Amino acid sequence: MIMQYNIKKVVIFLVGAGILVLGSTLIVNSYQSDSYGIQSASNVQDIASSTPQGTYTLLQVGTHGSAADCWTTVRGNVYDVTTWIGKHPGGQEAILGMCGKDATAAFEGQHGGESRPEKELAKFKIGILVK
Amino acid sequence: MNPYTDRLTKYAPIVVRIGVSLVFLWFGLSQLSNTAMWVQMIPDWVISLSGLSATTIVHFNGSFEIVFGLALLVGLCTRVTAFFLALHMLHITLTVGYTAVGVRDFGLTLAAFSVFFHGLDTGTFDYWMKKKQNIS
Repeated sequence: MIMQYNIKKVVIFLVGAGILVLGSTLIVNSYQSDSYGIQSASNVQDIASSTPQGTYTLLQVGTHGSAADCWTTVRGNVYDVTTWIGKHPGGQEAILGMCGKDATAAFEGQHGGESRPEKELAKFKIGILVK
Repeated sequence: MNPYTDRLTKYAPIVVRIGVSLVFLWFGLSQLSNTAMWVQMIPDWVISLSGLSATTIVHFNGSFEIVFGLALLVGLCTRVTAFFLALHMLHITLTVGYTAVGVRDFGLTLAAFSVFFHGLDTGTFDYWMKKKQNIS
């Protein structure tokens, strides 16, 4: 099928498309770096560890149970996942249902053993749960 | 055979091609305009293998989807464009895995492969160029 194509035409197209892709990548990259200073996802652990940590009771977590102010707990850690609600790949409902509550069972049931959700969750840690 | 529905047959490949290309264009523009949202979805192995930042990878991915999405929309090198987009979508589907998003992406992958299998349709630039060459 592909051999019926004019090879020269395909090569010219691919080279042109490659130049366009690389060029726009460089332009957008430099523009956004200057404008927003976006951090790389590779320093996630630094973000999590450098954030000031507090201690909270489950009662206190329960007072943050809305879409505008959403805290949850997983395995004894407290997370502010308000900004994650709209970004969760599995939909907002899964996060909204856990606002103000302990989400350990739900999180481990859905993401148990997966390193990526663990790394994502670590970014939102704000403290630990105390009795 | 129903003469009315038979007329619809010729529009099928055009609709699929335009639909697939618009999806890629939308996601490409989203990645360039709202990069922070997409950075979190880049697999760690891609970052370590490429040596690039997640932001740059998102920009590159978005640019790729826009350029090839536009080429597919106008029907320029239709089969080649659809082939690369289908492979790209297949990789995303495998990375996302068996989730609601992954299942949806699987359908999109098959649609992209369908465009690749079919090749140029009557609404593509390739078709009109070929027709022009045949006339001349």
